[in-house]
Amino acid sequence: MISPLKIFIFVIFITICFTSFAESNKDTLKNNVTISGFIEDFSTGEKLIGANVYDNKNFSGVSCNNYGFYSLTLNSGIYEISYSYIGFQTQRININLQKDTVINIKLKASIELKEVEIVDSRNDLNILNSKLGSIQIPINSVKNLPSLTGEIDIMKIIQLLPGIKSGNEASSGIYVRGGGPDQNLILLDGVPVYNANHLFGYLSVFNSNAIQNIEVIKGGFPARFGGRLSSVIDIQSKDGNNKKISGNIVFSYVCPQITLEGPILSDKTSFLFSARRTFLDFFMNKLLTSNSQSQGNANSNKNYYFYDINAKINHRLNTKNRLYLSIYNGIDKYNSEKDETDSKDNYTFHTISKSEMKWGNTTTSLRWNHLFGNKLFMNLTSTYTSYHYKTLDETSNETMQNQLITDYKHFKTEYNSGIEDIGCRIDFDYMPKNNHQLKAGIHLTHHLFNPGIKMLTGSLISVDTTLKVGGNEINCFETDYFLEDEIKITPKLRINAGLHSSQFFVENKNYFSLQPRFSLNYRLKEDISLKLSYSEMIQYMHLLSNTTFGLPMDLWVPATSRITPQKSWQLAAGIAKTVKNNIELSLEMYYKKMTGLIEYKEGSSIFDEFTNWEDKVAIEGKGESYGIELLLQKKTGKTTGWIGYTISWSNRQFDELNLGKTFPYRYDKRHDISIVINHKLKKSIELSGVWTLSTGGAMTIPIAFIVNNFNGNVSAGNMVTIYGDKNSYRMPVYHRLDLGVNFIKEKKHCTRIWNFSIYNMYARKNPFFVYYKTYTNPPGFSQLSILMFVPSVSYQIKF
Amino acid sequence: MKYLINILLSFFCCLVFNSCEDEIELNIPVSNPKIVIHGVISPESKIILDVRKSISVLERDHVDWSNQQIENADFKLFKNMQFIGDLSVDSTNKLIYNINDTNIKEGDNFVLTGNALNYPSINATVSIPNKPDISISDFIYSKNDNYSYNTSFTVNIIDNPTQEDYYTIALQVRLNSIAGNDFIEDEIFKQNDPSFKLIYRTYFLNDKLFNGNTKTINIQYMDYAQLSSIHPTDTFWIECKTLSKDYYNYLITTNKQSINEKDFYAEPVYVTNNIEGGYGILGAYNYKRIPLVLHYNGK
Repeated sequence: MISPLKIFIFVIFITICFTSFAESNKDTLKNNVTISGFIEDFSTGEKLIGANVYDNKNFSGVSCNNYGFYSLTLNSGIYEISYSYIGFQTQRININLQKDTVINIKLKASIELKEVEIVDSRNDLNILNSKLGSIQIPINSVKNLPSLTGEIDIMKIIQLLPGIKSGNEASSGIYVRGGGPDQNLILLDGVPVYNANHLFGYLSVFNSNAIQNIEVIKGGFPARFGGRLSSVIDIQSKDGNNKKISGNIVFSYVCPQITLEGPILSDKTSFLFSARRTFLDFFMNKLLTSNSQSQGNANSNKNYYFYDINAKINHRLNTKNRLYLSIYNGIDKYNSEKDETDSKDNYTFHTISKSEMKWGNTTTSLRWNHLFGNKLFMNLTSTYTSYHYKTLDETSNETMQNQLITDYKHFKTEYNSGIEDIGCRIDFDYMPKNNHQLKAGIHLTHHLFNPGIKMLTGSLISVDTTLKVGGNEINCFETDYFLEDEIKITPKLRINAGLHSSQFFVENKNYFSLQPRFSLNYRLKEDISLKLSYSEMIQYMHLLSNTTFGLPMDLWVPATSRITPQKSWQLAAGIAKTVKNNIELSLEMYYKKMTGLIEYKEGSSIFDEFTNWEDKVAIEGKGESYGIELLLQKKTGKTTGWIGYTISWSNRQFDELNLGKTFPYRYDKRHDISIVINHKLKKSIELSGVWTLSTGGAMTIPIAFIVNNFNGNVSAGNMVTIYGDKNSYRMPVYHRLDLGVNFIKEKKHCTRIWNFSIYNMYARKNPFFVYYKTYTNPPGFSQLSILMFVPSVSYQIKF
Repeated sequence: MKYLINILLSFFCCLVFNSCEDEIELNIPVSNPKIVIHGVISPESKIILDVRKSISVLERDHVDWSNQQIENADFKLFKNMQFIGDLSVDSTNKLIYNINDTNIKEGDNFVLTGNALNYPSINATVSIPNKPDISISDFIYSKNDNYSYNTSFTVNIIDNPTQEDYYTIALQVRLNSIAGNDFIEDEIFKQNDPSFKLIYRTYFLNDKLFNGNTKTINIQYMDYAQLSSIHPTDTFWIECKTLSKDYYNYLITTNKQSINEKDFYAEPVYVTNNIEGGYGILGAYNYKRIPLVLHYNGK
């Protein structure tokens, strides 16, 4: 049922579009001409997403789309056009425009502005951007920051932004404006990534050397995005240098890597290949094996490794057509093997046990860009993404007497879960006038959910049995349609309005939704703007997780006929001000309501693989979050960085949990401060530091025990635990300081960089988790802390 | 060079792993002990309360079982707004408080208040549920083999549409065959309705899905006659109880908690508590028992 409010908003949106178009058409009576083209990096040929094109005469301008394409329509005449992009030298051209013209621009990197940290998505000045809660992170600039593993992790950089909180110590999980970890749409080249963790959450799956651009949207979602409630993290991988072969090699003790890019056909086809693999298995194997042997096991072997590969090829068919093929594959694998032999009397007992845990993502996108004329840009994409998690436990026992097998038993347990999407999407960017940038598109996706299927196989000499338990595979079909217009109503007033509609077919149930999106920017003064946004979102999938460790067994499940989709609406308002041209200050307030949330029921466990997942969850939960975010950024100069502060509240309410009472969300952290500083000491030395502080996470603890004596048996076994209100206890405050230094040396054919980092410089014992300790005298609460003072070093060669 | 790199990498690995774990004690404020009440009121017996103090989280595993009573506690009971008396402490077991009321009937409302020095005051309210309206039909006896016999029958629960009802069903036997034994035991039986929750040998069910309608339950009982599990003198009956809501939820949640106790990853289970200012449960039930003649030895 579509609410009257949505219909009203839809009518207003259409009215604004048509009125504005009508105004535009008056202008078209004059002699309009369009200049269009692509803006690229001079040295690599990489597209420059969000680069600005500006008419200095009339102060009208546009910015490039995600493929570096722009289209600017002006009256015929003589103009000075500026092309600019943060970190690059502005290029100005004088042109006598009499007819439609194509101008492709290659911008040169600026030496002075190289240290620039964070810029807004559409313009150098945050105040011009109509989107609230949107930040673009140029990956090259944040690479100097200290890291845990010797390599910068972009998810950990995102955690330092206001409004975004981290989960556990060192985890890559993110929690945006009171939302859950499943409410983030993480896109790699437009394809969703369902599990962004390697190494149990210590490192994200994104290789910073293969990434060109990251945009984080926390609110005021444009209509082109849908499917998640809390954030969009849009990651674009590099296209590959189409001028020359280049790359880098990074040696670090956790995860060495190599990246290679270059032209296949000069200026037409380029490639990018990047691969990482951990060496942990070489060390852990020896360490753990020697440990097990000292415990008397005959032969045992334990192993863990991960790897990931990013590959991309892009080919320019001609000036109007371009093809991209982008592939990501990453696997984490842990396995152990034990081989024991024991003899007693005349019998020999031989036991072999194996266990394996494996998980990983694969994403693929094949994209065709086509330019119709000089105003309409089309993007046709086919996508594939999958996340699979598998465990295997196998034991065989053999009993022999005088070389003859007298008994043989073999048991195997295999558990599989995951999600697989195949999709197709078509998107259009239409730039009819400078005061309109229309976007429209249709996305079709088939989801295949595998919510945990366990196969048990047993064999007793000659009899084999197989038992299958757990949920069945679920097929779903999702369609999304959107229409979005970036409208410049007056020189001071811009709005971005749109509608996102979606349908989800599952188990003979059809969910439909219409989600209005609206954001407004009013430029109060030259350096101050006011912003307002409203967005509604719907999410047809849930993540079942009752751990905080980013474990790979967290389960993606769809909305079903019984479990409704998650919905939210968010209202945000903010003010942005530029101080002294290089410091930006923004203050944003938000209020978000969520419905249709699920959580594990009391007593349910993620490791209970015998119960159907739908029976394990409490449904129809409600959520509410609100807060204020402050961001102060310095973008240029020798010292750059930002200070972020968030004060926020996030609560949940389920009829089936906490006796129906509202409780704080697990990641409800009242205060959150991050200070990020980069300082270029001299040309060859860069210093960086990160300090972060946040209120401890919420958790539930036992507060007393009582004896349940109804059966007349009074003993410790009959003790009932009384818990405090759900999530009513706060862990200790979290804070840490990370420091890093880069020593850079330009050599004849390459640049070498030594990076030294220290994670948690003053060895703060932050809570990883708090648990109740029994069977000690006296029992009590303990906190496990990890990662105190962790140094790392990496050596990088860039060529 | 290779040797040097190996040493360097090993050094950093050791540094990382050695610096990566520590356990520290947390000073979490412990709640003061409270009065814990366990009591069930029904038309069939006198009112008995088990009264003891709660155990601190720092006391677990070292509980002094002989020192659980609360000294000089004072409990008063009101029925239908009328004071009916103070509960008196049992002379042999200081944990037990009781009072006689021989005229308890459905709908009676009880309020318990209690005070003890150094403990927060408690109060609890409970009403006696309606007597369950059940009947039994469709008895079928059949022989499985030489060793076992089946008895199946249907229990019909006629639900009251004006209220929420919480039922238990159990098949019970009094083992008269054992000389001098007056022992009542719950028997194992099967029933065909998945909406029932089985706790030990009793089925639990609420009327959310059939409020105001008749619920029929097919029950099957298997008698291993040759194993002499039943003697002709043993007497059987079906017992159906209606429980007060809190009492029903208390039994369900305590059972759930005990099942999940050892799973570190299981979500905590909140046990229902209707003792304001303290912990535990003041429950109530009503009952109906229908005698059964179960097939014996093929006769």
